[in-house]
Amino acid sequence: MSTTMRWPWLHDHQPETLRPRLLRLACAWCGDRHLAEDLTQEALARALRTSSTLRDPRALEGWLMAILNNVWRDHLRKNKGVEDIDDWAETLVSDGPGPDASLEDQQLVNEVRAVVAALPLGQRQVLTLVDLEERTYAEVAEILAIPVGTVMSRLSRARAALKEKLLARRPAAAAPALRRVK
Amino acid sequence: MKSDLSEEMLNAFVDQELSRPEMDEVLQALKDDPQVAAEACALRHTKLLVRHAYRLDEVRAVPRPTGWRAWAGRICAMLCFLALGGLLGWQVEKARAPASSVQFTLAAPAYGAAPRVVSLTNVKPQAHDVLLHLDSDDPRKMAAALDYAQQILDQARRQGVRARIEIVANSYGLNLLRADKSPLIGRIDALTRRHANLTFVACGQSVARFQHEGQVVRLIPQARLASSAVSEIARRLQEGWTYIQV
Repeated sequence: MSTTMRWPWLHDHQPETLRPRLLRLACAWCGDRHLAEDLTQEALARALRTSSTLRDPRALEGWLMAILNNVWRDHLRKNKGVEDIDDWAETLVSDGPGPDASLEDQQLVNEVRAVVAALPLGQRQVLTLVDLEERTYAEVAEILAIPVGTVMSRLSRARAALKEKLLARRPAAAAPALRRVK
Repeated sequence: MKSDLSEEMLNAFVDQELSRPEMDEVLQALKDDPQVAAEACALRHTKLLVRHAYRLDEVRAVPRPTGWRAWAGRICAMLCFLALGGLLGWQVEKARAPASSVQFTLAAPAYGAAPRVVSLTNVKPQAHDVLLHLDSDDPRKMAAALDYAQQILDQARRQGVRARIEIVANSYGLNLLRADKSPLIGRIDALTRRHANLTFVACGQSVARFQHEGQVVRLIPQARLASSAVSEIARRLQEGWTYIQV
């Protein structure tokens, strides 16, 4: 196989596809559409000011997610007057689920969102980075600046909560949803 | 029989984060214990539910804000587009210029995936300097890193040019450079004796992270410690090196 040095990401790496993904993450983290817009905007602006030295698109995306995490934490710090975010990353719970939408299975979607929104902040962030953004554990550790062991334990607890609240309660209803989303 | 697999391990299985031997262990447990199988299935189910609940098209579908905020957003997006383009050396013409590209022929690795190759167009290219980035302890990838290095150095020697190869290891790829864990110490020894221009760099942040987890990290004598893999990669790219992710 011959390899020439080209730009492999030229077609699949466009900032306009990146913004909605950051926005979705921010929505899942803060549970408020308008706040999520602001956080995403601020993250992109901050990314511009600091300008990355990363050239690999996946690393670049990770870097933007890390900035989004910082912006979100700054926001929490400013609005709660609490010094040590790390302590309440384990305990902070948001008020409710995210934006409305009209889907056939909206009830299930709402339930999932409500459970995710009720997770402690740290667990919510790890879960969404792994499940929505398909980041590896090592990447999540880097984005959130926490050890890989913490990523694994938070993820484990988050999934245990989802399992308990969603699957135990409605095994029959959950089964067709599984078939449908596959 | 109740298996002694941890929840973390099952989650890592669902997320495809396990090494081959760990994977085999879990697969065996799935076969032996229906309870473990049901548990893995439930974890996988939660993953699908979360994905389903936060769909990307829904975020896209909601109308953008109006007024000055809309403009601010558009300008920001445009700037970001330009800045990212600049950062990535977004110059197709230059990228196609043969002077900025290295032409070595690399054999396909055992695991089949083509390596990702990157170089900057806005710097003076060092056509024969290649950085190989390894971030996995997959034995096939570790071997592939050394294979690439050997292929490039041998070809350069035949062509009568002086190539420099730097293998940068971070995350679990660090295992290649750990005196206590590397499965390829003998090969690294032989390669470095044969090629003086082959160097090994360990990511300082990864070392620190493993130490933070309580591990004692001893590196092979050939490895140099950099502050981080990312900074090393960025520095080499700026110097005109070509980057290959193994």
